Amino acid sequence: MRSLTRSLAFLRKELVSVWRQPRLIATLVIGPFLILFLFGLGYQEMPEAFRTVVVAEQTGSAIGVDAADLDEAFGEGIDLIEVTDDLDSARQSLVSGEIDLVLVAPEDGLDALQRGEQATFSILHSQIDPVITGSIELIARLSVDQINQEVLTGIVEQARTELSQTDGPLADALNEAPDVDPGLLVSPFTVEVSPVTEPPPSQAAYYAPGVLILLVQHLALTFAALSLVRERELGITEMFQVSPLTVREAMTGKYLSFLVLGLVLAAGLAFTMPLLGVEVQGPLWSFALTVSLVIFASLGLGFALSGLAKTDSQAVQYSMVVLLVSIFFTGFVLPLDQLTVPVRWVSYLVPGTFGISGLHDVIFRGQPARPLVIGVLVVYGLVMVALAWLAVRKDVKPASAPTVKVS
Amino acid sequence: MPTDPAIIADELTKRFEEEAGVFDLDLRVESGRIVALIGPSGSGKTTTVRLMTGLLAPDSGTISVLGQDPTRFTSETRARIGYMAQDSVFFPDLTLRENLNFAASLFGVPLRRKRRVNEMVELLDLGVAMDRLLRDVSGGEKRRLSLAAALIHGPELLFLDEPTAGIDPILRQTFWDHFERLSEQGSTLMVTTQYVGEAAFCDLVGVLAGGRVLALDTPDGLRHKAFGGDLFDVVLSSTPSRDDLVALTRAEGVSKVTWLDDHSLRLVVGDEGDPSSTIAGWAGGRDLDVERSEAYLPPFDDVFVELVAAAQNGVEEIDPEGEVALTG
Repeated sequence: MRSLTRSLAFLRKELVSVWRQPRLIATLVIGPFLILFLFGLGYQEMPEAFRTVVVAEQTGSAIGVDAADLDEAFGEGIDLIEVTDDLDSARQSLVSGEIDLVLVAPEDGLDALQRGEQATFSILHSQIDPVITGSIELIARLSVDQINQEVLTGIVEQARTELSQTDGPLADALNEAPDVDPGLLVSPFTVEVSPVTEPPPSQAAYYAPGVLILLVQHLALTFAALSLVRERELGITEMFQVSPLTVREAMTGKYLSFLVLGLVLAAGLAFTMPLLGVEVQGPLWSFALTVSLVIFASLGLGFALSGLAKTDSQAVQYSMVVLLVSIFFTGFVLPLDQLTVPVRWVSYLVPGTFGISGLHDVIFRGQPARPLVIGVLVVYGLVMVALAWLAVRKDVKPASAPTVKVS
Repeated sequence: MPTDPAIIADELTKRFEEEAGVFDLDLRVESGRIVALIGPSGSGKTTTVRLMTGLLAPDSGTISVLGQDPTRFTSETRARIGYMAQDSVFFPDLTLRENLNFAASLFGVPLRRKRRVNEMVELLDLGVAMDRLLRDVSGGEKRRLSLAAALIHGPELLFLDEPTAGIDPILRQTFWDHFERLSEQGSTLMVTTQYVGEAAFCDLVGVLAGGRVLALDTPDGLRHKAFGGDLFDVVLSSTPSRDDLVALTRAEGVSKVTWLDDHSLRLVVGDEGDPSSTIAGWAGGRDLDVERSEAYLPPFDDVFVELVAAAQNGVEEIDPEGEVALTG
């Protein structure tokens, strides 16, 4: 009973301490809600179309660029501002930021073809972001494919008209299928991508579980680390050491208090997720279990890190390092498969890696988190309990060995 | 029924740097006594308390508190100990009441403790402040909270590190009255203080300087050691001659005579004989009228200064044996 009283004292103390710090609550609890909400509100599935000026001369060639058809060929990724033959003016607009792309069309595709060369579209841009540059290259290829396809379709249509007026097996074959679209003849194959999850997540929805896990992990880790370091800085650990308090009692109280805080935050975030169009497809118990285990493991990591920190600013720095590692190595931004194997082990040092994977199972695949994920989180949490034990013991009951035998 | 000593220390040493720490401390404190450690800052008072509470392990020597090595206290033993640290260390975001309840829980006081908490509030005059956050109260109120936290579980052995620092004289007297009541009820108290006068409230006083015990005795014993005997003041109706004084110094039991003014003398007398009879005999033989003669109890500040000065002047330790047994 006394043991329970001591643990409950920590539970109450931690909760009241947090409650008495409204700015901390605003930063660490309400902040994540707003972040997640704003993320969902502001994220655009499709980036804004590139404002593009086409520089081309009207040649009337059989294989040339018909400015009138360009808009259709470009699709949604490119917003055709104008077609001009003034390259210098277009460049100036690009440099001044009025437009995003300048597409310089070849003068005459037929000339190049007759020389045995491909006619080249040149695209000028002023982007430095590699992701955006990649998008430009992709859109450019798709647009040129579309232009090629339209040119070929025209050629095929013209050839079929001419062939149908001749005799021979090819003309007979063409006459037997007069309604086949020339475009189909040019592109007989297409592709259809179908996810097994229904409905497939939007990009904003896809990132939501990662945001939830990282926020919960960061909160738990920071609270745990700061809690011990602050007690150490205050000097109150001296009272712990003199009192009958045991490491187990202190840890039980601290784990319970921050688990409660973490779960309240996670529940709040979970209720925000439908705003992003995220519906939990799988069992809720698995969702709750995964989040709880991430909090449990993160608390242990926080307590363990506090053993290394001498000041609360150091504890915050450690916590920020873990957050940075989490952003890049947990599969939140980049798929784990894109990391080389030695580096991937860094991912496994962060509980968020397993949490994100588990929530993807539950939320999008409609199944409980894989047993391997749950198992690893449990083992991770228990290992952290052992490390946390060492950190808490340092404050509560330091191993002070006398150098002489005492009576 | 005789009880085991609450504290036994034998050649206890904790060395931090070349000249800092506690060196060769011998101490034996019987249960139910109040022991004061007095000395200037850095004299080793807090280190001694920390050694006895298990917060520090000794480099050498032995120590037993409530029959156990403090570095290996069991939870049951710790529950019998109260500790007030030199600095008031509690949670700034909690009220004084919440902090006190936290301390009570740590020491295993059952949750139905309102009455006990109120007793502490009343004793330490904390009523108004109890529901204020710790960060909003005065230093004195924080000290009182620290004391309340040390007392809340009714420990049988209390280590109080400068409990009266920053406390007004009236409340300080209240504290000492309570300490005496606790002692009468059987609690043992070890108190460190820089208020040398508080030594008078104690059963045993250790004077520390430079990590060493300069003297360890009862308050009366310390006075005796500081001045080489008891002090006796004599007021005469006329001024004695030099021959009169020489004769007085040769009287039985008188070891030293000093002038206070033309008509007044202060004598250092030993245990032998009755000073009043000696003075009466001396005055009668020399036609001197004694207006008043009485024992003089010097304030402990003077006692302390004498002891420290003697130590700094290279005088041998006043209590070279370094151990005083105080039995009930």
